[in-house]
Amino acid sequence: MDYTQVGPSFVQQYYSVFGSARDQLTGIYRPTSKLTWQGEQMQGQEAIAARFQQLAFNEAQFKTDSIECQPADGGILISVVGEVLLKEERYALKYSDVFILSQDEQQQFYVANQIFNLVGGGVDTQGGQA
Amino acid sequence: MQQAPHYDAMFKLILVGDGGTGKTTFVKRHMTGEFEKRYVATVGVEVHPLTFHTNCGTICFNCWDTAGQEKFGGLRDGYYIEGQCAIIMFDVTSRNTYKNVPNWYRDITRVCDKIPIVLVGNKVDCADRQVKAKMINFHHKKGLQYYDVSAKSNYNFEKPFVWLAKSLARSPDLQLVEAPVLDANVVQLTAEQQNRLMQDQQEIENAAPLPADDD
Repeated sequence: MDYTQVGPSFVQQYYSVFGSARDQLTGIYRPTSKLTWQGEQMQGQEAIAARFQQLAFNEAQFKTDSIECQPADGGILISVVGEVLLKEERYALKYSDVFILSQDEQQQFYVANQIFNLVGGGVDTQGGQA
Repeated sequence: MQQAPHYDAMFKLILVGDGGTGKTTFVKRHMTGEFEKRYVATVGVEVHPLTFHTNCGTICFNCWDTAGQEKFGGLRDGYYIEGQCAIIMFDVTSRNTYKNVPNWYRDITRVCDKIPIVLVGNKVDCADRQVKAKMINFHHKKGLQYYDVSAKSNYNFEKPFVWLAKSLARSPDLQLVEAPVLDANVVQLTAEQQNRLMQDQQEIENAAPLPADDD
């Protein structure tokens, strides 16, 4: 297993599906998968699918700035920084996404852990003045 | 060199509500605010300075509009910090957006202590209104003001701001001395719609009189 190939190609596929038909992502999660989405923790593909269904957007374009990978316990640790632009929004939002991919008995990769966060949203350093 | 401020008082206004309720369309109706808006990339907000000329001076609301972060879930505390007043928007054609109003209220009040908040139901120009005037009661419990609005027709556009200004200036007599310049490209309300909206507003006002200033 070449983590330098699997990691980035997983990431590209993941975002391509997420941005167009995220209901089809269920298969890459398992009952043991853990997701922290914007600070909200959940476990299992059903809970994850339900959360994704509630998101108030359909189409999104992800652009990755960096994809860093490491081999980790037979799996892969992946850290992504990028920007996401929602259809009907004017500005792209910066995000950070961390995955641990594991392999099941059939050598299939699945997402064991994931932490997604929009980055920023801090206090305006210019005091909110125009 | 910075221009001298052309207002007498300025307030940070937090604009929240579910994605797709029309927050951006609403703030963009105010023409000078639209010309002077700026995007703060580090925060991910577009700040629209909305000025209103009142008998108590010129008031500028720096209206914080998100770049769609709420579509991913809640907003970060940084968005609320130092907020001095707020507008919670829902869409009267979508019950779900009204159901989420208590969550937005909770998020604001968790960070901002006792700031004046207006609840607005947008899209009252649409034929398929789902959240009827009678069903809107969240503001009663919390001492908020409520207005029907229609961003696309400018209906009641200035009302939430005038109410917030009254509350912040502690001047119940505050009123506009000049109408704000709004986008003239409007959807016309029918006479029937206008009548019904007037009746609805009457009903809402009778049910919840302006809460007395107790401080």
